[in-house]
Amino acid sequence: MTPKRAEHIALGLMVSGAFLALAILLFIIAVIMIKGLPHVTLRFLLDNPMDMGRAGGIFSTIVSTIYLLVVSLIIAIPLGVGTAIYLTEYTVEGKVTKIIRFGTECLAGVPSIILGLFGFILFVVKMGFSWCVLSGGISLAIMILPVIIRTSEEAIKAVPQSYRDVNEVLGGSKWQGVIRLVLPNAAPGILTGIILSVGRGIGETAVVIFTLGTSLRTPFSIFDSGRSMAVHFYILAQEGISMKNAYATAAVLVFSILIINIFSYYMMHRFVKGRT
Amino acid sequence: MPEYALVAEHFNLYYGEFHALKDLNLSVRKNTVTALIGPSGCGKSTLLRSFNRMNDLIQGVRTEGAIYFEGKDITKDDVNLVQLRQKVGMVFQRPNPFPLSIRDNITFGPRVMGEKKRSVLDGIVEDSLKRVGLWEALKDDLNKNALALSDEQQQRLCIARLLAVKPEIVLMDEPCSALDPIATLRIEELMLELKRKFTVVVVTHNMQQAARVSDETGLMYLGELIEFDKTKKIFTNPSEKITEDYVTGKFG
Repeated sequence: MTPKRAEHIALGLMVSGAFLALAILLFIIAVIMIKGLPHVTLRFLLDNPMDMGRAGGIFSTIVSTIYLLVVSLIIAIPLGVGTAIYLTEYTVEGKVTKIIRFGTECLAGVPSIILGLFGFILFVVKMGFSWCVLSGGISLAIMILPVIIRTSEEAIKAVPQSYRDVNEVLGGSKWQGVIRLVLPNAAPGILTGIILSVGRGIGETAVVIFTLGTSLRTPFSIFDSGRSMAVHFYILAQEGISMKNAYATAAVLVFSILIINIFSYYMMHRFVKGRT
Repeated sequence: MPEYALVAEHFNLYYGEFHALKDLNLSVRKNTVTALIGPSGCGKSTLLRSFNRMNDLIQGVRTEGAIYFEGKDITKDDVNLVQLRQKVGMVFQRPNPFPLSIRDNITFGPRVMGEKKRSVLDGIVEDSLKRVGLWEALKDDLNKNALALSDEQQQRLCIARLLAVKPEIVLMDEPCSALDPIATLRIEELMLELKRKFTVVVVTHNMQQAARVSDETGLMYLGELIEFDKTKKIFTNPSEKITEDYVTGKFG
């Protein structure tokens, strides 16, 4: 075989691989949209589920999902951004930062079902919160923490060193530099990470099913149980309650994730453009 | 020694094992422009950064000997770095305004030091911009983003931002290397203007610049201060062979 021919074959394989990946994505989206979208009506979005989800809509699961995400972000953002600031601004590269960074990488690698079980044992059982938005929020926060730490770190590192030097020259303390220069300039990047983690959290089932529970009632207090959209879909499909409603829920879920990803992509683009 | 702004005595600096500055002795006169020249890597920027302890930001830096400022050895551990850097300010190689408005750039320093009064801050903005010759051009555009200014204006703004914290000494690390020749000349005029109220120490690659603006010049080579004298003498009748070779362009 001539080198030229090998080149052609390799290129052909790579191109078809790339298109296959894209085709799979489009196929999944198409199937879910075709099967689900016809059942997504305004009433479906605004009605509560009835008869275990056989009838009615998904309003309470939308509320549970948003509530859960808000609580987990309230916990994960300060922790994650704080860790990132500490790692980039207050430490020199060394053993300690390596250990912390390795730890967060490992945390990112923990299977979500394990996190769910951990949240169940610690928050639901040992601490007695039972299945609720708080238990779910903390567990989900643990899951998205590595994403927030890593993206915040990258965003903070991208802030020009000269800002910090000038801050020192002008008599600013490190913390003043962080508040007045580093964070405002890193904000778009940090926000991108937060949106990405929302995209990941919204579709999470394993962590949530063990900690938030599966109650179909609309949660009000953080000590109320609820059922997120992803869990709702899982139960409807798994127990064969209503494939029609399962697909409709999936369509809403996939649509939200698409919007979130497109938005974060757009933010990232703007962030990169602002840097150069 | 009231006529000296900075005095270095047997000053040595090490980056880990590397002996970067070797037994330096020099005195910078008040209200003059002092130039530090020498080939790349000779230690002139390191020396400049020693005057306000900016080398502290680098890991593994260690010093011996002393540098006196206002009668105090500023190489000691108990020095208040915030106060020192406010009095011994620094302008960097590339114009580096914050991505904020012109006004916010200048008020940044006073504000981190706790000044909140609008009238005081406005006065500082006007005063600082006047000193660098930008007031007339920018007084109606104070809310404009500083990044929209030309390179020269940005560098002037950076100097104004520094003057706003009322330093005694202005250290300049190749302040014109990112500017075109005409802008360079104008910044040099500004340096001459500044020495009436401040003491200026400038590191430069550009020998003509040193000859044009400075009163005294130090030539550094491989971490040593080869010669330190009146600029005129350095450029016309140096005592050392290395100095003569450098200023006549035989190496560097």
